[in-house]
Amino acid sequence: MKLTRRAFLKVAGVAATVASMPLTAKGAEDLKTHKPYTESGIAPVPEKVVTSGCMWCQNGCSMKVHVKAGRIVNIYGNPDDPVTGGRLCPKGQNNVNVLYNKYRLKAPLKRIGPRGDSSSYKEISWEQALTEISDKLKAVKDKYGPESLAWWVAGRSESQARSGLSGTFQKLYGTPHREGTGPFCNFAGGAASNSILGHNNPPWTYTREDFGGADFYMFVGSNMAASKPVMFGAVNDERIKRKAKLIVVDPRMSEAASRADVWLPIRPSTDMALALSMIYHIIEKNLQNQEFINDKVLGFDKLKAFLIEKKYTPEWAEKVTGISATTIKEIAEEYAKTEKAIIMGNAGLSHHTNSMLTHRAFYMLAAVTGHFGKPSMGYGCGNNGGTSMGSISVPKEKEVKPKKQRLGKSPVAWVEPMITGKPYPIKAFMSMGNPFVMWPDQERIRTALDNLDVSVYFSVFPSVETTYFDYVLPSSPWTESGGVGPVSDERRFAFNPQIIQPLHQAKPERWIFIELAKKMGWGDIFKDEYKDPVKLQKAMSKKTGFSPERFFAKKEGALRGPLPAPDAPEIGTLYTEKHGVPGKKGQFPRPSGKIEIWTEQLDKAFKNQGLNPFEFYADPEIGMKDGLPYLEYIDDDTSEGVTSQLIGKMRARRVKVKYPAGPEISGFDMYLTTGRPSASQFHAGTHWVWNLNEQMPDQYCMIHPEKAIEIGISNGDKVKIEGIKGHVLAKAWVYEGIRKDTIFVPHGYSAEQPFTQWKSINFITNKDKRCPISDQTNYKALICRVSKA
Amino acid sequence: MSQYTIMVDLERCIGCKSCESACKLENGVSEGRYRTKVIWVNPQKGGKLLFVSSPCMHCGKPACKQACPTGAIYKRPEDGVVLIDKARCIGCRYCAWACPYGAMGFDEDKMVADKCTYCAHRLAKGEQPACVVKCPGHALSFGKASELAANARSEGRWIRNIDVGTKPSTVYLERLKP
Ligand code: SF4
Ligand code: SF4
Ligand code: SF4
Repeated sequence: MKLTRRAFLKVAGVAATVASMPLTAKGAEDLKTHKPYTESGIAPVPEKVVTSGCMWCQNGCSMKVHVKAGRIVNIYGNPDDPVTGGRLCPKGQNNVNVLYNKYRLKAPLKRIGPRGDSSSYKEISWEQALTEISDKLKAVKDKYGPESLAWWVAGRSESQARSGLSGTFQKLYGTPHREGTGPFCNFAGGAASNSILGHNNPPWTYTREDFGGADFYMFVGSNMAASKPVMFGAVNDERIKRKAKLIVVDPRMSEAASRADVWLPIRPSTDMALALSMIYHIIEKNLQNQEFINDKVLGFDKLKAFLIEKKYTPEWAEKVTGISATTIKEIAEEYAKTEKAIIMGNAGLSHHTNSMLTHRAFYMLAAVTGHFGKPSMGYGCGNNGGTSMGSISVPKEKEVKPKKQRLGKSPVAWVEPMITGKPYPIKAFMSMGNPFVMWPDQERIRTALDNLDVSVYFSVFPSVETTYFDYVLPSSPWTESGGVGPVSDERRFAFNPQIIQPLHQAKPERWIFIELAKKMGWGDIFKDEYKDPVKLQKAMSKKTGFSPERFFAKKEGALRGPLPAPDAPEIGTLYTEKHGVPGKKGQFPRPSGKIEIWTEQLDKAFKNQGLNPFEFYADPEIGMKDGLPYLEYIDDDTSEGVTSQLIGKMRARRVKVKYPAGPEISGFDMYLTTGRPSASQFHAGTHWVWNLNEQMPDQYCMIHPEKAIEIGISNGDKVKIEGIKGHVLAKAWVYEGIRKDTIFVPHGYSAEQPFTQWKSINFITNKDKRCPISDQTNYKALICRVSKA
Repeated sequence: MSQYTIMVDLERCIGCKSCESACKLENGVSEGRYRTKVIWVNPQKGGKLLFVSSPCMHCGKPACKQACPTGAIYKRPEDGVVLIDKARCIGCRYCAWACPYGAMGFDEDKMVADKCTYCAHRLAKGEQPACVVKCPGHALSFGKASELAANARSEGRWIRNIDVGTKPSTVYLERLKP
């Protein structure tokens, strides 16, 4: 269909200009080869409808899968799901097109030629692949010690295998280096929550009564319309019905910001300053909830004294953030005075070198105003991890305890040890995600595999990785595999029955781990019967409430943790006087039972790495450009560092906050921030699905019209973005809703995707500039210059 | 006749394009073709980013129907749904040129006109259109025109005038004023 201008102007309103990006995809592919499974005709009436859960995002939607003649023919939402009410975003329903997809990896592959070339691979049997991989894993362990295996258990695969079986494997092998997507996502939010509330999860559930029931919302660094579309849709619906207020803090007018009453285009990397100055103003106006503080908060006086000493006033924050002091005061007062008020953070806060302290600052803001303990209030960050479902235990005598200290939290910390062998070498690497698209410093990372004895890549689709790794294993997604979906923001897991048999030679990750473990000699623990997702779930959940029976008893097929015992009831809001956190002690399960803003122990833990828990600093490139305080790193990824006292026993880097006398770098006039392109995309994987890719096919560069005129480009032109590390190209989206000094370029695109090809923005991001506490990479505050390509 | 309508709420829409996907899966619409498309409209002069979900308007006086030389397009008397009799369509595309809303698409495999049917096959089963039931934003509602309009008015909403002479049935609710 094409829109004629005449009526379109009527529909869209006068003077409408269509955004450049979402036009039809015209890729390298023949359009005709990408048809829906129905080959043009309406979806058949299903023979059976199976309740399942979505494998993509942390909305965790329950779904109704329509099956006919052994084939999945459509997917609808589950009307019995109290979270979604039967709604679904484009990704959930496109799980159909993930399964029936001509690009899928079909058989195990072995590299027999040079890296970087897809013709270097030949198909081998599963038997050969797993025998060779296990032999190499054993040899690496003998030669270099068990710590030299690193395993990135990322991907959108099911949780039993990813967080369950791979953990059992890790204990038997003895490496400390197994990590999920957290350090690329929102690990910092959970770590901050742990350090202040004593538990990782946000307080609320995604129901209309809880998350949907507030009168005031402030979304900071969260484009929830794209990252959790279904819940955002419900919140927006509530906002309109109940006239709730929505404030969105984001350098660009995101989809979420376009629905907001107030959009605050903040300078990238300075959200912490906003939170601190809001607290300053609240204290100055005596609007803090003193009763709540006296009862339930430790360290308020320390915070107050520090804010006053540093003069973190709204006027100071105006200079740092670009948001006027008047506005800061207004929103601070309104927030303090509104009982049902929610502040939600997300990757826009986590992808910074100050991520841990920024999240902590928002937790403190909610704490000093008494916003914990009841539904529809509090601060929380998306995707802060799950609660324990249980595991397949390893007998004590078989568990191998690593002798060397784990190298950092982030898998990115493995890269230098792979390349340099320091402080000790990583020699084997297994990856279930796309490091060559999503990790920072793409140029450097591509050289890391050369020094390894073995590298293994698990995937549904090919990618650049399938031309670099030694072995490529095709995995079965979602209902082909069966199992448990990824946990939602609000602690929910959905069980997915295995509905169809794996296509091609692909295998569920569960099957792969069991077969590999058998070849490692651990067949007594990795039992064959665990290939059945229901039997595995039963075995894993012996001590928790996540039994298959309990999943199946629910109409939505989903359970919300924590369920610390088989009969533990599901509870809603966390951190209430009544429930606290099930399985943990106290309303706030910190050692003191209170919200710990400051304690001597915490202070020591931050000082251990050279930080003060209240001190603001910006990301390094921003600090250097603008003369704001930023971090200098004493340790790098090849050094021993110190041991973290905040996120578990592992190597942590020491830093120093530097206060530059003025700008230290020139030649880069713009800020660069990155993020999710739209609701249809989820990192690299969705770009192999025609209907998702066509909804946002191109790596765009959102740029302000004034800047566009200055560099002589118009909408749709190719632009060159040069950062300190390198340069990439993108398609200009001239857009008034972005700071004049900032461009936004989405992540997840790569030069090896089937429909459209773009060099990933992560050729510009820097792997060495990470948050010293959470180890999260700064993806969202870099500097660059932009020109016509 | 009691006209069916989809009411599109420009304030509730979050631009997610789930309606596009729902339609493609339900109706077998392939890549690059659409029965409904979500247009993102850039903000202007301090305004806001706008999303417009655009199914067929199922007009009271359908321009496509008038343009069709073979009489393949008809408006169902009982509920006002505008449909194409594909057996009579000769693929001349006059209808696509005539439609002021660009709602008429073309199936290049079968060489016939193709457009939104308000999911007539689902209506026949007592179900609502695919795009409506999946919409995360609660931005699409389906029903009798008069009832939907009454609901909107009770929420204090305004209906945007989009008529260019064909009396469209699909309704757009104005954004809230700031
Ligand atoms: S919102 Fe998230 S969980 Fe729900 S359907 Fe979309 S991707 Fe799946
Ligand atoms: S599915 Fe609903 S919210 Fe999403 S773009 Fe379509 S109309 Fe808007
Ligand atoms: S009513 Fe049906 S045919 Fe029309 S746009 Fe919606 S899903 Fe497509």
